[in-house]
Amino acid sequence: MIGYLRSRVLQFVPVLFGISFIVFILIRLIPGDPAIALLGTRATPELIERVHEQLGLDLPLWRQYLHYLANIARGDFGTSFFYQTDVWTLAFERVPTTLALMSYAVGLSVLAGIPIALLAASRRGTIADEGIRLLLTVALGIPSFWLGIVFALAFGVVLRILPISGAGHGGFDTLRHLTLPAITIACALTPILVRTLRSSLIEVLNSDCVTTGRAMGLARRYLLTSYLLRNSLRPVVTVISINIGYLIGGTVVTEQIFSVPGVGSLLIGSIATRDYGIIQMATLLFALLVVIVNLVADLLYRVIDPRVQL
Amino acid sequence: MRVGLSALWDRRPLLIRAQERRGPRTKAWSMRIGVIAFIAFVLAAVAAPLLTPYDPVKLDLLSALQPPSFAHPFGTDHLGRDVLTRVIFGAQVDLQIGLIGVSIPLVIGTIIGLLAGYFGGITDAIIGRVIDVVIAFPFLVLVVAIVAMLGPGLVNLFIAITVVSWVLYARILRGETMAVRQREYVIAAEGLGYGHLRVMLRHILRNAIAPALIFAMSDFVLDLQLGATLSFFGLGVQPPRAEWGLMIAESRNFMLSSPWTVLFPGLAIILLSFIVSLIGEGIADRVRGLHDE
Amino acid sequence: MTNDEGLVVEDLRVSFGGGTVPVIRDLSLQIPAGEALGLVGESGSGKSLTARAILGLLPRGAQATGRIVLDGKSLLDLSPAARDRMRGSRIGMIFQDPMSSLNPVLRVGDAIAQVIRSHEDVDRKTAKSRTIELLQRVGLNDARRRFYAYPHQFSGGMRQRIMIAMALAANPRLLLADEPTTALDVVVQAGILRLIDGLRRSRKMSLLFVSHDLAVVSRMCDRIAVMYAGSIVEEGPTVQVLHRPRMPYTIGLLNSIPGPQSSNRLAAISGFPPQPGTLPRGCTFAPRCPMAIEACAQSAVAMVEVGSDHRARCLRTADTGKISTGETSAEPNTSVSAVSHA
Repeated sequence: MIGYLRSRVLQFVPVLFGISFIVFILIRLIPGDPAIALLGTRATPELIERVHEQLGLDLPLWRQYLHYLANIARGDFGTSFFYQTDVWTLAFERVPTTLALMSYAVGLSVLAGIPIALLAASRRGTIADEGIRLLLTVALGIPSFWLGIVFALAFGVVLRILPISGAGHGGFDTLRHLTLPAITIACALTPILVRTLRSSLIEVLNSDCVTTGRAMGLARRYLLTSYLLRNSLRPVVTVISINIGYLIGGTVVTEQIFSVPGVGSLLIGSIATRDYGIIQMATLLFALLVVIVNLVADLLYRVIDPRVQL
Repeated sequence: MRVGLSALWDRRPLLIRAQERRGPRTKAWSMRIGVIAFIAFVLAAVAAPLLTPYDPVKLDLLSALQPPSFAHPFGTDHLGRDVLTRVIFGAQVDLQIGLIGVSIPLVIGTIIGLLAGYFGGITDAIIGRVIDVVIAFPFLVLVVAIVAMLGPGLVNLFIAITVVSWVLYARILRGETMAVRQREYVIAAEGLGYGHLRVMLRHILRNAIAPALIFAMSDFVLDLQLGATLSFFGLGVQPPRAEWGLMIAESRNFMLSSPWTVLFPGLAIILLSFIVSLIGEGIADRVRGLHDE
Repeated sequence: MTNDEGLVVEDLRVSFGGGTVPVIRDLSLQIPAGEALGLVGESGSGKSLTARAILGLLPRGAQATGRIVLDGKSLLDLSPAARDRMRGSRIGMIFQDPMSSLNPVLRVGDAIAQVIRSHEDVDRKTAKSRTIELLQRVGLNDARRRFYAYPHQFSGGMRQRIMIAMALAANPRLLLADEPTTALDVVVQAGILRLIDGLRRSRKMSLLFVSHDLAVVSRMCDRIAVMYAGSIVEEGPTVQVLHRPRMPYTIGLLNSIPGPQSSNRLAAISGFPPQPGTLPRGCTFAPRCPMAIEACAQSAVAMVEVGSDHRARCLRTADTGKISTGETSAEPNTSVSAVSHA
């Protein structure tokens, strides 16, 4: 297991370098002097000079990159001039909230998606099935930001049953606060999940092992859990890990709309304040999340399917 | 759920057979409707000034926040502008976002993917790496970051989308090219001494392009959503231009009292996305049908 | 209201497409309790479908009419729920490919215990101990440990034994075996066949053994029924059918078995069996039959008694009788029992 992990992580090393390079390059996209942009309104000739030195902006690009990497190795990702703290701390302390929201959304998607997919698969070819697929296509076209503000209005303002901002104070309160955002994100993820799940359920339904199970007269509850669902776990993991980028996108938008203090709202918020250091950091964190999720998915396959050798 | 589950092993052959026969027919219809609706959208967007007497940009505060009526079928927004007019003019922008956001990456990505898959070796190794790295970034996050650096605006949005999206096409083309390369007719063509370019274009491309086109449809929807989202957050189209996401942002505070200001732009996004998705599904079905034969 | 009659199938008809495409026609057979009937035929003859029809596991779009009675209880007019209960507890079935048939994510012990608990109200401990007993009975050493293993950790032969254990877990009265040894190598085959045979006798179960392998069937079954294009064309005691076949198709089948043959047998059958939707009007075998006459193509042929409890669906049984009596030996000879008497 450890050996497998090690080899997988090694595979990701070039990708990690590539990610760091792209994040590094981002700053150089800014038209004009990045130092001025980074300093914003506090720009004075001396400070500019200092930032140039700090970031090594006079050096050739590849040396700047090495400089950047050295900084990262030291844990220095730059400072936020707006918040006056180092970027890493700022971003990292928001990670748990974002992860909580994403997990919540995935959980809701799976809980809703499995029964819908089962329904569609079992009534394959009928009006119900076609109807569901139609609804899924429509749902995929609903923008998350629009849905978010509609939900916020309906459930938060009009009906007043759920909070629409912040993340609460932990525990159940946080759950309440994250519910509307999670539902919003889930509405974007569930259609994708159901599509794939429906196909794989149809496959499983027609498979030899389910036929055998039925031939043995297995009770419904066993067929449903041990045969249908357990053999469908794999595609669920696959769908979520493939669409993790899409999921993150929805999370960022939703965090901003519902003022959830996660990395996503940090990213969007920093744009207005031109806090480029944070933008870089958030981007890097999200890319890392994608890589980690893919790794975790590989491990999950081992747990789900005993045939998978490591 | 009990009744539903027993349908899992349903034994009503006649009913099921009849309804399964609906499949191909309704699908052909839905694709036609999709294409027609899309063309209608494009025509409406192009002919926008002709379709409405109102100016999408000019303020008319006296007519602010009027509910839908004969004079204003979609009502007016907080600045008195006719919502229907703005939705139609907004279609100009959003269609551009979708079309340009798809076509340029499609071309670039196809060329690069084709080269990588065809020549293999170092070319493929490098391009493959680049693809892996860019794909590691969530689409929205990277586009947002790039636009944040370059500055808000429609052109910067196009640049950001293009820079990020081409890898998606390159990946598809690379995979398909490598698969098709192995097939006999390509080997035969190469054996006959056809030049690289000719082999690539005529033999490989024709077969490899199908999945890319299918993906292009969902990419259109993705770009449309992204453009609207970024404009909503102030990163894309700038006021006073009409764009659906921007309209929603501008009218956010008036949602409760004047829901039409937010409803119709949202519906426009949903509708256009649905239409293009239908077309994409239609293409996918036809391609699958061809393969089955 | 059950008795010991065993399985009685009368005029079974299975069709697809809402009744328009018949795949099995006018099929009748009987298996008294404790006896074994072999159902043989080429692929596509409908033998597997027959077994599935008896079990009630037909694919989507298939309809079955006729009579299927097990121990006095009619099976075709059971409700779906009753059908589910019947499977496993009154009829068991084993399939050809044990790797794809066993659930790969379930430990084999759990899989079998689930079957037991689906049919009887027992607690987990009891189910587990009965499962271990079953595993021992089917020949798995170290059953206690093997309980926790996964299917992919076993060899093909052992997986088949596990499947047999699963099928018998709820003590059915009738066992349907659909080519259970076809995917196994010859040595392993013998062990599995011995196991099935032993279990049948000790439990006094009826056995329907479906196979395309005449040799295997002859070893296991008291009677043989030969299927062609959806109907039984010959049926009788094993020895009689194999040594005095009266239907030209059976003769042709026997002739295609490698081994020392008598020269007055018919040559190997040329041509292919008809597709389900395109059955010829009269005898389905007539187009390929070297003994066909005009009358054969006119109308469907009925079964004719050709011996004690031996029937053939042919108009020319008088002449086929002459061919068969050319065989001098009445003893089973090695040409039909290719499997070693292990």
